[in-house]
Amino acid sequence: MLWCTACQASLGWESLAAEGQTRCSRCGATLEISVFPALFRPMAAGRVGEAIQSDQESACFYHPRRQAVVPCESCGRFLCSLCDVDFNGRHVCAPCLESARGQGALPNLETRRTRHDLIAMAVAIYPIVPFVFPTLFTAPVALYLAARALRAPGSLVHRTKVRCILAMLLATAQIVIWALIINLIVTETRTGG
Amino acid sequence: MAPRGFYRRLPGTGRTLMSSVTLWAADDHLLQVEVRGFTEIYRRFYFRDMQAIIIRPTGRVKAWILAFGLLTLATALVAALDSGLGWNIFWWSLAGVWLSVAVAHLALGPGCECALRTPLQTIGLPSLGRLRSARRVLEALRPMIELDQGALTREEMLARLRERAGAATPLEAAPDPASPPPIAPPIAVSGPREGLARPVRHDSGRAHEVLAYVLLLSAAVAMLPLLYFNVVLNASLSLVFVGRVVCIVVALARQNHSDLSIAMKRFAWTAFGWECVTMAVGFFGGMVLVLHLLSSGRLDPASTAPPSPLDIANFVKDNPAFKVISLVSSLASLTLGIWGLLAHRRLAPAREEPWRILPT
Repeated sequence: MLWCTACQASLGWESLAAEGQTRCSRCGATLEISVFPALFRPMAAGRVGEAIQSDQESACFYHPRRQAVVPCESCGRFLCSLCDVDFNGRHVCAPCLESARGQGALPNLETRRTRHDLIAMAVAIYPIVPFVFPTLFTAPVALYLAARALRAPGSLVHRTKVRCILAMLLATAQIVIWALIINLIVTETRTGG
Repeated sequence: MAPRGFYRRLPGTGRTLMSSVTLWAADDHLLQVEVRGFTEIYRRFYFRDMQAIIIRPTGRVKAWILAFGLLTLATALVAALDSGLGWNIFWWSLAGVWLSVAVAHLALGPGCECALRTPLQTIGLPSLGRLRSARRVLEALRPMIELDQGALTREEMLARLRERAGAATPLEAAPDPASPPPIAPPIAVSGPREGLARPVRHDSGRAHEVLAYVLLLSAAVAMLPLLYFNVVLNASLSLVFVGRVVCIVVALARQNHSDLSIAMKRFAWTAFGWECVTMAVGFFGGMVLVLHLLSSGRLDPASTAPPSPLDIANFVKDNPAFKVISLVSSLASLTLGIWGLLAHRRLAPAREEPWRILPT
């Protein structure tokens, strides 16, 4: 069943069948509903591991009273149909999946990533905005962070390293300017002295 | 088809003060990326699980355009009245900024709210805040979803819907006329508004009715200075405007997550918008008044004695701009009040006989 997104009242099948825009019969909100075949598909029933019938049958590593149906393709442990996780066509157990996820080997399961390139850019740019003085200290930090971000895993969607390179260039420029200023001050002091 | 692991950017960006949300399409799923500070948060919606996409056009953008348009007019009015060269440039620049924001909103098109239905939940897609981008995304996703789920012709879909309606339980097929339609579980809103939305509650619309009456009263009060000007009387009647603000705040708070009709909610938001405009006009009008008092010599910045309120009131009373503003304010309040009462009248019978608003 579908619900109106404004008042959350149920929508009759007439609303779903309507071409183009339709109106919620309760609150009068205009809705454009696109229905896909999955709406009519019944939900798949959950699997249950079958109990062992004889001594000849292998047992699941995690459920000793359940029949093993497949070995884990990562660790080789026997798994019942309850423990078997079908991941990209491979049969694996939940602990292997969790450890692979922890190592960052499965981008499909990642839910968050730190953007090191954005941190490097922020450290390179933000100190310039209020006053120039901190750049004497932040420029080397920005250079280090940008170099680190080059090797760190970036965004899942933005695959370019242009921000890292920009941050490196900006930090290098700040260091060069500071070197010139210090050089000028030293030269002036010596000349004056 | 794009190679595995490659994401294609889809139109639309949802922005809040602290985050931005975008949508990306892979070959088998839709990825929602929310950037919060220096972290990207991912949420995947597989094409095989998508049951429906619901787009609901909203008047949010129209309200913004109206607000910025009125702000432009108010600022331009101040700029036209102000003769100082430096201030003149400032006011015209400010009017230009407001106008460009209004034009940008106009160019991006009408607003909407988009939700995605999966077998387990309905999820809001905050990046699709414009009708145009939502439709473009839907057109881009449709072939991908059909590739995973197969395509249904319109006839097939109608047949299945009829089948479903026929197979429904007697209660679903013929709802009890005395009971309102069932309420859905709260919508899970992803992105900046993370978490579950609050459940919808019933509201009688009493706060909106009171607001409508207060608006009618303030329409009469706004006209009074044009007919009879008395400083003490008019100052005491300005309490009505304070009451109006309180009523608007209460109505907006009451209608949040309530089952009130769209018309009632629009009425409260329009009253709120009008109040903002009134305040902006009052602010700019006050500034113009000070400038005029300074230029006419009634207000002397060097003098330690404050100017007489009666003197200022007499100056304001004779100003044609003040008369125009009072008249417009009165008419707007009258219109809003009548609209509110009519919307409440229309709401009342539906509340008493809920079966009248059920689908036949």
